[in-house]
Amino acid sequence: MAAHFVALRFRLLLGTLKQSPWAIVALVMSVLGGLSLLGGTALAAIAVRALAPELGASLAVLGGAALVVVLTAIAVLVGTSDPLAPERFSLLPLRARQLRAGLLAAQVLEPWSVVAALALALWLIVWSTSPVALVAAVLALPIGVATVLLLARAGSDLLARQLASKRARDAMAILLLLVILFAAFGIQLLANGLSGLADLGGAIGTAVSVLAWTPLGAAFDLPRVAADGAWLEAAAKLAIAVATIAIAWWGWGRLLDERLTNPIVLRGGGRVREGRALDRLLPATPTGAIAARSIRYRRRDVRHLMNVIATLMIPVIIGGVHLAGIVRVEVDGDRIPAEGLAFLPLLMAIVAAAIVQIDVAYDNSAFAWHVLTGVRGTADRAGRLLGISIVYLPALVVTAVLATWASGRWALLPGSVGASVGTFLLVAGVLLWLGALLPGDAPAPGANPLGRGSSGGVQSLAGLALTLPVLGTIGAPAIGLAIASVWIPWLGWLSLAAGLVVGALGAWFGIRVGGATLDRRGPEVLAHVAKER
Amino acid sequence: MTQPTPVDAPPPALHLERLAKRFGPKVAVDGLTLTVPQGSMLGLVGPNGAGKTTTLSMATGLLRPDHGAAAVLGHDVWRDPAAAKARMGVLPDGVHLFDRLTGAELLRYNGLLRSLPEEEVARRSASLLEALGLAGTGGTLVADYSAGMRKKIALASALIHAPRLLVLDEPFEAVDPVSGEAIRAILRDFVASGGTVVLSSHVMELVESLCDRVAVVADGRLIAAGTLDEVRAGASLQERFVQMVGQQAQGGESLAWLRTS
Repeated sequence: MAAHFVALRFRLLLGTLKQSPWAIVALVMSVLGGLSLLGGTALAAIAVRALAPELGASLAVLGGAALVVVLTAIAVLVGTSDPLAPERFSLLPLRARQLRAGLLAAQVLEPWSVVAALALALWLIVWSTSPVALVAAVLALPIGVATVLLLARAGSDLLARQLASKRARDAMAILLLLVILFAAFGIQLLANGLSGLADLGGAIGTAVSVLAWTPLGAAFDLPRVAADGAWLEAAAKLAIAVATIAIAWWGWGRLLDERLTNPIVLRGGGRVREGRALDRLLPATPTGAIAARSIRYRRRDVRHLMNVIATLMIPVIIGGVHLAGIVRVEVDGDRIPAEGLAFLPLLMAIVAAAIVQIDVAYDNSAFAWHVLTGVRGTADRAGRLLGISIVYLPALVVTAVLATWASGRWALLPGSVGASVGTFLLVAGVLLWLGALLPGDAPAPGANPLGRGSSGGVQSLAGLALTLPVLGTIGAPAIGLAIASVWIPWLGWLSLAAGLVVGALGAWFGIRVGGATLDRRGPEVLAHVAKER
Repeated sequence: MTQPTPVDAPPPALHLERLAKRFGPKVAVDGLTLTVPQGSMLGLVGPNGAGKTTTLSMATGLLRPDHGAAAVLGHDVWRDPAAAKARMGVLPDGVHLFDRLTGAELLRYNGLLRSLPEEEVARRSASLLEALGLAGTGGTLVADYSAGMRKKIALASALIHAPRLLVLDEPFEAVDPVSGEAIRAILRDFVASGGTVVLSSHVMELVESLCDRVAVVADGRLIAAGTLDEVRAGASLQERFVQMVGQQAQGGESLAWLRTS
C-alpha cells in the first residue's frame, strides 16, 4: 500500500516535469535551494561546535521546535493544492489506517521532509563533544524526525477544516506573508543582537528550558540530558517525546477517518460591494475597464492583495527598524545616514513594478477573453499600467513624504518623488513589453497564493536581468540626481523633472511597443499562461 | 483562398479551410474544411478527443493554426482579427472567467472591452441577466457561482455585443433544464433573425432537436457534414454517429464479469 502511494507521488512529479522544460529548471533550482539550506545548517553546526559548543544544546531545542512550526506552515500552505489530499481517496475502499501509512510514506519523500531530516542529522556534529551525547543523539534522531514530520502533518490537517472558507484561507496566507517578512528582517535583528550575547543567552536559556518540556522540544533535548547523566529527566522527556508521536499518529488517523466520510469542501467568500465609484472615475473604454478590473483584483484576489501588502510593508519594516536604531547598517565602516531613508520609496517602486511582467500570468486562461474580444494590445497594456499606477503612485508619494519627514531634510522630497515615480513607470513600462514576450508563471486563480509559481517562475529572472541594466542607464539620471541632492539640494528638482520624463518614456514604450508585441503574440501568451502546472 | 460560394452570394458565416494543428507528435486537427452558411444552426459532434475544442479555438482566434485559414463573414480570423472578432461571440470551454468580478461587473467588462457605449452595456447586461435567470445575484462573485451559473454568465458575455455568429463550446453542460430551455429559445430566436450558431455537444438528441445542420468530426478530420437529414440518412443521429465513429460500442461480452448475477 505504502509503495503505491510513493509510486503515485513520483509519477505525479514526473508528469509535471514532462509537461514543461521550465518545470525541470524549477526543480533544479529548488534542489539548489535545499542544498544551500543544508549547507548553511552544516556551517552553523560546525561554527557552533568550534566556537560555542555550550550553545549547541539550546539551539538544538530551538531549531527543532522551529522546524516543527515551519513544516506545519508549509503543510498548511500546500494543503489546498495537495495532489494527495485524503478526499481524493474517499471513493476507494480504503481504511484511514492504510491511507495514513501510505500518506506518511509519500510525505517522508517530499523535498522539505528530506531537507528537514538531513538538517536534523547534520546537527549531530554539535553533539560530538562527548561520546554519550553522540550516541544519545543518534538514538534520538529517528524520534526527532518522526516528531517533526508527524506533528507538522497532524497540525496542518487539524487546521485544514478551519481553513476551508476562502476568507480564512486568505487571512492565513496574509498572516504567513507578514510572518515571513518580519522573520526575514528578524534574522537581521538577531544577528546584530548577538553582540549583546549575555542577556540574549539568559533569555534563550529560559525559553529553551521551558520549550524542552513541551511536545515541541522534548525530543531534541534528549542528547543533552543523557550527556549530563540526568537519567530521570531523560526518561521523562523520552516519555513526552514518544507520547507526542503516539498522540499525533493516532489523532492524524482520526482526522483522516473523518475526511474520508466528511470531506473538506472549500467554501467561497461572502458578498462584495459593487463599487460604482470606480466605474464613474475611470473612462468607459477598454483601457478604463481593464484599469478598473486591475484595481478590483488588487483588493479581491488574495494573490494580488499579498503583493500589495508586501510592497507596502517594505518601507514600514525597513524604515521602522532603521528609525528604532536597532540595526546599524554599515557601509565601509560608516553608518548610513538618516538621509538614506528618503530613498525607501525608490526600493518600493522597484518591487511594485517588478510584478508587472507576470500580470497576465495571474489572469491565467481568463486572458482568453481579452483575445476573444479583440481588445487592442495598447489598450491592454495601458489599462494594466493605469490600474497599478492608481494603486501605487499615491502610495509612493505618501511614502516619500513620510520618509523625507523621518530623515529630517525636506529638501530631499523632490528627488525622492522624482526617483521613485520615474523608476516605477520606467520599470513597469519595460516589463509590460517583456511580459508580452515572456509572461512568466503565477499561482492559478483560487490556488494557494504562496504555492507553485508564486515567485514568478524562471522567466521572471529575465525580468530582473533586464531591469538592472535599464535602471543603470536610462533610469540613472533621476536616481543619480536624487542621490546628488543629498549634498546639492537644488538637484532634487532636476531629479523630479528627469523622473517625470523617464517615467513618461517608459510608459510610452510599454504601451506602444508592448502593445504591438501583444497584438502579435496574444495567442502565444495565452497558451503559456493557460498551461496547467 | 478559394471560396466555395459564387461571388455575389453572401459570404458564409464561418468558413474553415484545411485547418491543421499538431501538439508535439499528436495531430489534433488534420486539414479540416467546413462551411457554415448564414442563418443556420450547426451542431459539431464527435467523440472525446476528436479535436472539436481545438478546431473551435483556431476558428475563434485563441489558438494559432499550423496551417489553413478561418474566416468569419468573409473576414480572415488570423489576418484581420479585429473585423472577425467584432462579428463573433464565443463561449469557450474550460477557460477561466475573470471570476473576482460579480456577474454584472463581468458583463460590463466584456461590453467595454468591445468598445460598446456605457448606457448600451448597462441596458443589455440587465436584460441578459434577467433572461438567463441571474438577476438576483448582485454582489456575488462569479467565483462563488455554480458550474451552470458560470456557463450562463459566460454565454451572456458572448452575447453582449450582439454578434452575427455565435461559437459555443458545450453550451448546455451543467445547465439546469429550465435555463437550458431559456438558452434554446434565445438561440432559436437569434437564428430566426438571421444570426448563425455553431455549437458543440455530446448529446445527439439535443443536436437533433435544435440544429438544422450537423458536422461530425473524428480524429481531427471532418467525416460528415450537411443538413440534419443528409447526415442522419433516415436513421437517428445517435445511430448514424455510432455507425460512423464507434467501433468500441459493441455489446458487453468482454465485460461479462460485471454482471451481478
